[in-house]
Amino acid sequence: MGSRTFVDFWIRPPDVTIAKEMCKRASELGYSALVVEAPKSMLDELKGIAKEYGLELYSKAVISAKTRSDVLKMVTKLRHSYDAIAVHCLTRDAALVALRDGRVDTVVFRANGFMTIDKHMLSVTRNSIELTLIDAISDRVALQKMRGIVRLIDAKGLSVIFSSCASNPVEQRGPFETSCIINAFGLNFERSLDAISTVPLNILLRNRAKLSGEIVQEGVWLVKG
Amino acid sequence: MLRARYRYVFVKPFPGDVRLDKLEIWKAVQSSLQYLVGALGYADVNPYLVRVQKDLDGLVMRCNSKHIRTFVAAIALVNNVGGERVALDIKKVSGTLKALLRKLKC
Repeated sequence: MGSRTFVDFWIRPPDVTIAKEMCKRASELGYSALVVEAPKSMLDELKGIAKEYGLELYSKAVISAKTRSDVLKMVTKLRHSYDAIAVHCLTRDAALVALRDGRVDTVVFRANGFMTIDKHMLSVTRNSIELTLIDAISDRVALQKMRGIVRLIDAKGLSVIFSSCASNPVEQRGPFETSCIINAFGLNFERSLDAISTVPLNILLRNRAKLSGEIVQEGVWLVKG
Repeated sequence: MLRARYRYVFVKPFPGDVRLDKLEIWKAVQSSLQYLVGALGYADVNPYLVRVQKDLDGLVMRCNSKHIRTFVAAIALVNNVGGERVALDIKKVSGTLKALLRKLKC
């Protein structure tokens, strides 16, 4: 537990004041990095605040997609501006495209969208699947659905990410608590810890390197000095 | 017969300024656990409210040591106590009550 770097892969503060409180709470809970879905102007302001609390801040764009073309258009538009791109699928068609597209980082399955996963979808999956804590906390039906999704993911050995999707500090939970929730869904504890540390961190580091030009092409890194 | 092993958990509500009935918190945890693992799972976890720690503004709870993760998950899933939106933070987990209180006070 101690040597891991924990990442809250999705918070969406409504304003800077709440964002500041959320940064403070995340730091107290033991997170080292936050991924924020917010307008660019707010992100610039938040970077300084996050640094005060010893947090690394990453930007995230969440695309709500109904059709295949929604996914393709928005990913093309946003890929080079954000550290992480997540697709929140509202239909199965959109989910199938998002799960395969190499430019997408995570595919979010939420209670207010499409929250079913079948074996065909799993067989074409290339990206990580993201589940949110807020759905587990606030929606008991979603909790049962998430349990089913986690079992399928575990059986297929795919990577899963668990984020808080919090919009205020009360919705945030610590890394240990979060990993225990995933563990209660049926994933083993090591993989539960990976879902909030290694898996999201690798995505963020790779994407930041791509944005800064350190990765010239997939697998080709620019060596400095 | 083997002696039962427990884990003692110190739970503190967040935000701290909200006044809550501590027994309401315990009921919320019980309900959450029951929903998460069902009646049989609940019996395995064997939760118990040890004491209300007024000086530290929290509760000390106990569960079967093998099922501590399930118990922590149930605590983390609580988001509403007596109509107030709260989070229950797990501040410390220990094998004995004495060690838990010592760790909390130092």
